Amino acid sequence: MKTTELSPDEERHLLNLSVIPALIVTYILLAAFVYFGRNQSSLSPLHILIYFGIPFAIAMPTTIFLSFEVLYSRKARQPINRGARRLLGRISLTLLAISLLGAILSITYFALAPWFDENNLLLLTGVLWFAIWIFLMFHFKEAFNKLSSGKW
Amino acid sequence: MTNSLKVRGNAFYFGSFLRLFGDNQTIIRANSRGYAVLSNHYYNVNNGYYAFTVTVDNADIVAISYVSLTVSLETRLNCIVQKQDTSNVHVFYGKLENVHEEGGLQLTISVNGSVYTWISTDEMGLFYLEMSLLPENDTATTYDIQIAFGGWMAGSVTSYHQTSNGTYPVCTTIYSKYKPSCNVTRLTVSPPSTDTLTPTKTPEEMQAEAEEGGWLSIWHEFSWWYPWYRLRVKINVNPTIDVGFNPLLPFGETWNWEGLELFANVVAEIWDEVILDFMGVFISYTIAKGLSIWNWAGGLLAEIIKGAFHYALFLAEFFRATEGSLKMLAAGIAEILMGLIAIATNIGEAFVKALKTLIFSPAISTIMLTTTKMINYAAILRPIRTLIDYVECGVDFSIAILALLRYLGWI
Repeated sequence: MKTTELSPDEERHLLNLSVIPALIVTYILLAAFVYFGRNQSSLSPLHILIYFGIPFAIAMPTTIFLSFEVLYSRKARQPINRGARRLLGRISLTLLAISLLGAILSITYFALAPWFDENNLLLLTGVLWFAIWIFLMFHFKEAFNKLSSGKW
Repeated sequence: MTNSLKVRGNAFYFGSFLRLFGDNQTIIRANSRGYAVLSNHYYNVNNGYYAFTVTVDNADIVAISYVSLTVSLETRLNCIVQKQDTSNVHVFYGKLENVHEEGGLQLTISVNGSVYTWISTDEMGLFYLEMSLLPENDTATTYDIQIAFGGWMAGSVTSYHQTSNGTYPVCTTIYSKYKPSCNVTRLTVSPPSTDTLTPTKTPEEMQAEAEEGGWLSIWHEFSWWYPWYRLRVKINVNPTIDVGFNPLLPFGETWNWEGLELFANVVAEIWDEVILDFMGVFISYTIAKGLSIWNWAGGLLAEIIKGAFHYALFLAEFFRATEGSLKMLAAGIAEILMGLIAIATNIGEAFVKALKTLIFSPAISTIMLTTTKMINYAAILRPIRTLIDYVECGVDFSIAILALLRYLGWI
């Protein structure tokens, strides 16, 4: 099969297109959650993060990366498994981000719960996660690039 | 109710459980594994309340495990509301269930969170109250009526064990004859009639309203000149916000809003909340944008996880908020502003300027000016729209719609 490489501009165009399925997934998740959670006024921020936030954080990048691979393979006229390595790398980045979040969440909830209310605890977890993620991205720039471009 | 106190050691011990407020003293022996167990059922709490203690002959090697007990009767408050046709007098009557022929129990009546009056129940636990609730400014007004029973005859007793080394608390019983209970009724008083509403609507009602009202409409628009195609997004809640942009090409955006005047009175009150909400979202958005320059997948993940946190914190507020909640309005305005910036910074800037004309305060004007400057810095970061902007925009607009609908009491 004859294959062609895509330019960065074409890749960006495909990425922008893959936001459409991701938005559909977001709205389905949100509608389902509002429907099921409507009468549960006692749901705490932590519960919402676990029941909605984490599935959202997994489903959205997975949809984006997968749609990108499908669009890429069609445009470049190559079998979809050519991009398997790239997809796998990006999914593992996602899983790394989510498990990092889980680890920080469990540490903050275990250690800081007596001093902060739940909203602030979650906010603090978010800030910590953000800071650590930025640090990791700068410190392991090469590894991040290799993983997300499938060259590993 | 069964509690066990473990007694450790090799010697022969016995435990004795003392019954307070009574003459009976139960002495039981620890078994070969060192356990002493006493069972007691409270058939009638009128007999008083108890705390248990255990003594052993060699006090130095006793291991005491602290026991806490709660004893009380459950109560339940039922309430029915009726309105007389010709006046605004509402009659509240009902019964405090499970009280045994004991009158004079005090109930606290609160209207919209502040105490209105106190009433007492009769011998059967019944109560009756008349209240005049008027529609304010001739518009439908919602009242939350809370009837609360704070419990009765609360007390506690603690028993201590004395050894040569000191005194240790062994058991505490918290006692109240009747447990507290509460009833909340929500009423909407409108000029011609009164309806009793449940705070939330059924999914069928929500869907019908969505189809009728069209909260969000999206359509395509083509033109002969640049940018040839525009995606038009209209949030039709109140205010109406209509934005048109080309998803792939920069510049050539259109925008229009109506009904911002409706917020003139409240925006000044909640502006600090709007700014705080906006700052949080804006700073994390710009960081995620910056990160995406180094590695787009990592930046995107930062943005999505930020979105997850954002949803979690917002939805927790959303489920607690009621109609007219200013927190929801503040969140709605902040999210619309952020969503507009994600589409194009100049739209966000115009939105801030439009809000500024509604408020006449030097302090707020300064804050607005700072916000506008911040937005301009964001423009440097985003010469072209990327995936992160779409994610931001989707998350922000969905939150904004939910927040405004909750504020208006439609969902």
